[in-house]
Amino acid sequence: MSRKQNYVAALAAAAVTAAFTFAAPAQAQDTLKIGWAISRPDRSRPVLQSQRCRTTRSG
Amino acid sequence: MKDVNDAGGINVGGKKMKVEVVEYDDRSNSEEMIKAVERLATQDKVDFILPPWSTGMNLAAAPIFNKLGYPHLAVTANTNQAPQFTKRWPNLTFWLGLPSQLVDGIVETFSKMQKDGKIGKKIAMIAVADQFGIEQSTAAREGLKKAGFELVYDKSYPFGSQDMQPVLKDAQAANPDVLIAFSYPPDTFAITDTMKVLAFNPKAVYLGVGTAFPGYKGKFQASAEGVMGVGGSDANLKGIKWYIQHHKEVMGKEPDRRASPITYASLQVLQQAIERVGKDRAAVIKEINTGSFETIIGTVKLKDGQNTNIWTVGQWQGNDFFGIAPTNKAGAKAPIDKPKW
Repeated sequence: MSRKQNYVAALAAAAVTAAFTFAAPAQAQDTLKIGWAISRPDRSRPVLQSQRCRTTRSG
Repeated sequence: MKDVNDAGGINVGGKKMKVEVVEYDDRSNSEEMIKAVERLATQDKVDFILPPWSTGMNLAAAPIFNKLGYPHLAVTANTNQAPQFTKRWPNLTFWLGLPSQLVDGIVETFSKMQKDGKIGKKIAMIAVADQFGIEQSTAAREGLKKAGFELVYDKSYPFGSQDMQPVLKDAQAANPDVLIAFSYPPDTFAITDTMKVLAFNPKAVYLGVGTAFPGYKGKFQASAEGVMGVGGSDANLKGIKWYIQHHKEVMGKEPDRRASPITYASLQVLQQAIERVGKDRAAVIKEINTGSFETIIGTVKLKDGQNTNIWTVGQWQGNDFFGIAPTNKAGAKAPIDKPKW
């Protein structure tokens, strides 16, 4: 990779980081975070909205 | 959570906020659960935390919820010490009623039936030999004797018993008017099966926990008619009608008629408290304890941290497990005669 390509890659990485940095507080203000510690013996249950929310967050 | 998000979220200070759930598996282990609750508060910095499941887990969680300043809606916990606990931890609330209240309902129900000439005074009582069975049967023994009933049979059976025949044969031999069993769901099902086999037909039968499960009606069909147990609901209440139908649509099966609607109602209370006072947890705790809330089970107003909108005794009448005690509660049905098995 040339020095110019390195520079562009670094800029792109910085932009992505910045986007997430700005996105994170906005998300925190828009959602109400609810925690739950619960046993999950039956993992074959249908996926509900609550579980999808968590997947989105983790992903 | 699905319902809240489908409706656009919770209104916090004029702004609709969707709910995001952060969930950890506590593996039914109290140490894991406490670690998870701490992590939710300190690392995930969640706004609110839902309660763990069962009496033991909620009592184990109470000090940490209190230390962290979160409202603790112990919706599946049931202990006679609840009034002392809510005094010690004002953020803690109980929703299912005290075990002693459940026994009061049994005594009230059978006293009325006895006065109405529907049953005599002879009662057989069996109980699983663990804390639940011992606590309930001790309170029932005292209450029933005080009400003038004669305990013609009074025995416990070991936890995990597979064969209920020996204890039920002895109870049958005592020729009681009523059989009361403080039993866990597998025992409740086994007791019903065995009573049918023995053609043991007292005039009234109270079994439970587990009688309120739709699976009980599903398994025993017409034989469930007239069987009593803990819990119940007013199936004619608009909110309950909606909830049963909605649960079927979302979960693919009916809810139980005791803890399930009360759990949903407790979440409605939490939502309404947040919508009234915002995300400030101390203010939400105060609102939960002092406010009045419209829910699927009707109006909920806690008294000393206890939900008093509960059914203590229910009975299968047709396709629903109706609340029959407290007898003065709106929507209470009169008990029906139990057909023979």
